[in-house]
Amino acid sequence: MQLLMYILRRLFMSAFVLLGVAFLVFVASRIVPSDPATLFAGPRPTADQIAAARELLKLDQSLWVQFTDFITSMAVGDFGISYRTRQLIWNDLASFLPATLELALFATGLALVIGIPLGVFAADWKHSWFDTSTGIGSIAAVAMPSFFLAMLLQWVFAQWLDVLPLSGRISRDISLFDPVETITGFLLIDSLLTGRFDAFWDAIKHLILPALTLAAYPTGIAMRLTRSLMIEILERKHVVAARALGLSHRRILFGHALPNAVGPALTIIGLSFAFSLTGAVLVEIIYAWPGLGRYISEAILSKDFPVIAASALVVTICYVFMNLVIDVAQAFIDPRVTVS
Amino acid sequence: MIIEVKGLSIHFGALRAVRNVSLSVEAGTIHGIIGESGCGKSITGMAFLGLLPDGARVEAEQFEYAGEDLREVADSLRGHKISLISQDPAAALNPVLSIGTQLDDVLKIHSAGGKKQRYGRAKELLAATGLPDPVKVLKSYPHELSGGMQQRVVIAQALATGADFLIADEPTTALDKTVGKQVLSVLKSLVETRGLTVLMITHDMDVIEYCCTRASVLYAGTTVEDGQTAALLNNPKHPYTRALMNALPGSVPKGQKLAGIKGHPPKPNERIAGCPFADRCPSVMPACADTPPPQHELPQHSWSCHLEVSK
Ligand code: SF4
Repeated sequence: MQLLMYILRRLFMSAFVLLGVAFLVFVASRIVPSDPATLFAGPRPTADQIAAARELLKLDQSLWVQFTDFITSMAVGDFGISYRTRQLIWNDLASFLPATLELALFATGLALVIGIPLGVFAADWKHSWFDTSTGIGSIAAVAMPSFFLAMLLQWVFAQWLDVLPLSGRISRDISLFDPVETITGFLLIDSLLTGRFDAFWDAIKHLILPALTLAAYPTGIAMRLTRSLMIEILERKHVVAARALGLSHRRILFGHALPNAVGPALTIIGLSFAFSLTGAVLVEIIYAWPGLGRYISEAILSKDFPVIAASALVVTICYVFMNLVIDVAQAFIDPRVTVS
Repeated sequence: MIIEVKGLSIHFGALRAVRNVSLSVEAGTIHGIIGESGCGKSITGMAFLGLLPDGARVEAEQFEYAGEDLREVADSLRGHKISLISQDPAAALNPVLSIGTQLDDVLKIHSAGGKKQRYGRAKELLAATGLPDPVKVLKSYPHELSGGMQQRVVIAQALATGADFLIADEPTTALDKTVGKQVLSVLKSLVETRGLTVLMITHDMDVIEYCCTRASVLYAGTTVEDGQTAALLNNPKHPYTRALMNALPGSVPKGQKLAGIKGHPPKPNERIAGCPFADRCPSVMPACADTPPPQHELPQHSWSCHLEVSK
């Protein structure tokens, strides 16, 4: 009950966040010093073309009408058409967003399952060779530029060992001659849904290197954070009490101390998820990943404002949703969260 | 005697946290350890559990549980024969696990039987500590319980280990007076019905008076007086014990000075040649500064002081 109220409260707040972002996006689109009508009308437009564009884009209406128009069309997913590609933005997003989400989620998952256990063991074996070497490793993972790490990984796994593909999201053999039917846009899910295990395996192999590249930073952070949290928690009274009750070391480490550390670690990982949604441009370019990062950066360079606005909103929605998921997960792990 | 301690000292490098503690505890009784904070009573308690911080050096003429040397067996007895009731129940319970999980974790190690039996046993244990609605408590999280209820849960956990010797480290300090009294009476009745032995660490004479059969008075890591509760209360011999009594009603609040006595106890890094209380003692005499005080023995009562035995 308390949990349900908590979730509803978070949902309500999320709606406000979205409205606020929509407002900011709208304001920003009105104060940039370039005329949307001119951009829309294409290169070297005539005065008539500009006037026509102005009418089509409803730029002659009052700001209030424009804003309500903007909000209502965004709300139903009508993002308009791109100035640059003349395509429906909805269609573009439908193909780019799942690719990015798949990558970002996979990378975040990697950060979780690698970073947290390493942090736990580093804390348990404080000042051992393991602690020192994972410490150095995490600093390297955080500090190394992603393009450099990407090249390194490509060189080792694609060129030298030749076990993983260099780039792309799926092999050409599959995408050209025997494509996977698109249901959700997530290749891993679609290939499983349609029973295409060859494609699933192929997609996983394509995903590993870019996901590792993207996961390096959050893994390092999650590891260090988990380590320092665990060191503090292992000295708490309830851990001493658990020892006095005869609990095994393993049970104390994973069953008693770790649940206390997972909450804060999740928060950090959630933040890094947001970062990998839009900050992955470089990674997407290096690995020729057909994702949102590349799409947005091209839109920004050509002042394609409807695309920027739509992407900003969609990314915000993803982020807000991810936060909601993390908040709920935290409430499950730590029941004190729901009381506020 | 289930516990025999003679000349126990615990050092951390040059720090003498415990200098010379002796006590013996009869099975099936509650034995008190009383003193100001910093007198080494908590560390002494932790030594029984083998849970001293890293770098501790334990020395003793005798340090035994049921005839076994605790320096060797404390680790294996901990959580099986010897367990702990900690000072602050709110901190002693894991905030993110339900009471049911925490109690079951202990039962898993110590009792045979499946989930069902353990659940039944958990209910039984909670009921034994006087909790009215065990089923509801098992579903709760620590923050949903009052301090008194939390401490009962902690006691139930200690019972779940099957230990017969419990270290109770200031079990009522974090609770208000009435609730504290209730918790003590629960402990008292458990000692009677289950034949437990409890080492009750406290700074509160009231606690000693209320539930302890015997008590040791600690000062600067040293046992200065030891005896039956009645003898200690009605006929305190050591000037420090008398000072403690004068600090009544009640207790020596943390960090506060003893009533009518100036100064503070020697620091753990100070060397003590004579009596540890010499700097503050109202009856101090020349010998006190450099000669260790002699031990006086009466039946069920002993103390170390240069003062002549008053008739
Ligand atoms: S030995 Fe001396 S200083 Fe110590 S308590 Fe007795 S009289 Fe006081």
